[in-house]
Amino acid sequence: MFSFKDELKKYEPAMLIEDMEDSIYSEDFRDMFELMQYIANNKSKPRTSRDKE
Amino acid sequence: MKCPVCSYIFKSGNVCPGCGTDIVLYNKTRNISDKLYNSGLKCAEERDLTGAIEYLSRSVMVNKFNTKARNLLGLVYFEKGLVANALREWVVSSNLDKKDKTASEYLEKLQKNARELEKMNDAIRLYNLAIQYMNQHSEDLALIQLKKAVSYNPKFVDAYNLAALCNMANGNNTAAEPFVKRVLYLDKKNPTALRYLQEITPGSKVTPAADLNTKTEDTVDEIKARRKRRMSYKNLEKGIIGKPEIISFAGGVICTAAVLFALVFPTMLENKSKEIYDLKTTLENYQSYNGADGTVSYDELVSENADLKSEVDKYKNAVALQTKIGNINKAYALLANGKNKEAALLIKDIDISDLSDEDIAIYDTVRESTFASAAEDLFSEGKMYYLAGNYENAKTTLNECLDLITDESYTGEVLYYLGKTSEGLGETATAISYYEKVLSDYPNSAQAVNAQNSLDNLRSGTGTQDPSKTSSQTSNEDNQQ
Repeated sequence: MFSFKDELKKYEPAMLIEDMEDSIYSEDFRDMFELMQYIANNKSKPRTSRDKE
Repeated sequence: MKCPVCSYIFKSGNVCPGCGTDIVLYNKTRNISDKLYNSGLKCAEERDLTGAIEYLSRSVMVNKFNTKARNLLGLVYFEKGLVANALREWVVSSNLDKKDKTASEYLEKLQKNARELEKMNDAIRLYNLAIQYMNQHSEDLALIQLKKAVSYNPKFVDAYNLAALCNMANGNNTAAEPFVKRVLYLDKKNPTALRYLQEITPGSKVTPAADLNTKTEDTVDEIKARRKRRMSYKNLEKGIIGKPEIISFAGGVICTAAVLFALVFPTMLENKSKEIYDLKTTLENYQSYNGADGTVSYDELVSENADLKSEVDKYKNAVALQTKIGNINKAYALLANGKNKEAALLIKDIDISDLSDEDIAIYDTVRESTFASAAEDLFSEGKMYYLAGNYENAKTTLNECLDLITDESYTGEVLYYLGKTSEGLGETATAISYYEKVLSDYPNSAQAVNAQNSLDNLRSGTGTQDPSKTSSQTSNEDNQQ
């Protein structure tokens, strides 16, 4: 037997059409490739004394 | 292969010849994204919407430019009833890849059905409201909102799930079951629904998959039955009617006719008979009516008609009298203007029996002043017409002269010329009667001899036939006299 309260917590309000625009602007659209590229680029750069600190 | 940094296109190798970028990472992420898309597509084809969303979300997370995955993700959201999520994916997709028209087409279709879109949005609004009600422990109100939501959007999976939960919270598992089954029909492997199903039927060994298969089979059967029905309707539309249909139609007609004869016609006949009887009674009442109830009887109508007729006659007489008086006054005025002949002709036929003394006095004045002179004028005029051979006018004028004449000294002459005119018109008998009258009534007349000669000629059959000759002869006779 599951808990009704816990079960209810799983339900979140669905997005309305009028909220869609805000959702698009607020979302971070960086994908995995961009993140990995960012990490790879940072790795290739020589570390500065500040980074070591 | 296209370099993601400089867009240089090359066939093989992991390093871009254009900018020297190592594209191993790029290739790997792209492959992962495509694999996830394939898995998502497979789930979507199997109607596992939750699984499809899971895979496709990861696919676009790995490679945001995978517009195919994003479009499909939007489609799956839409199928689940989450229309705003679907729109978001399609908007992003159409912006990331301008060449791909799929997302634009989806958006265009939705815009064309703005009313449907609004209903779907309303369904979401009601679902959100239901969550609020449930948090406030108002399950009944929540259930109402959810039922309304699924009526607006019958594919709203989350609403069905929440409705099932609502019923389960009230301890009404039987009511929850159809909602769960509906969810599993829409989204075969929906984990929430599967959990609820286990909760509702704890002892049952029916696995969700088996349940779903049954559902699928049912659906196939339903589809087949629907197709069969549609075909039969089409056949009916084409006019191909089978024997059973004809027999049942004929049976229906016979039954209807039997019911009409047994129930409706006797009642109709009875009503008609009653109507005829009522009309007969009314007619008899009218015929035997003596006018006691204020309406008019036949005798009264006859007497009233007679009264009205006499009244009309009275009015007619009054009008005639007024006309006579008017003519007398008019004649008096003509007399004053010296038009004696016109005045005399106007009053010559007036009957003075019903006139007042005053009117008679005027009449007498006009008569005395005009008749003699008018008769003389008319005689001269008639004679001129006769001499000119215009017998018709001569006849009319001389007859008018006879009406007005007061001096009998030339009446014989007038009659003689009337005889001559009649002779000219070929009316021999009339001419003879005129000549005879001259001879009998006015034997001393100046034209008595001529009348005798003319009479003799007519009797001997040598009457004056030539008008000109007659005219000259008469003129000579006149001259001699």
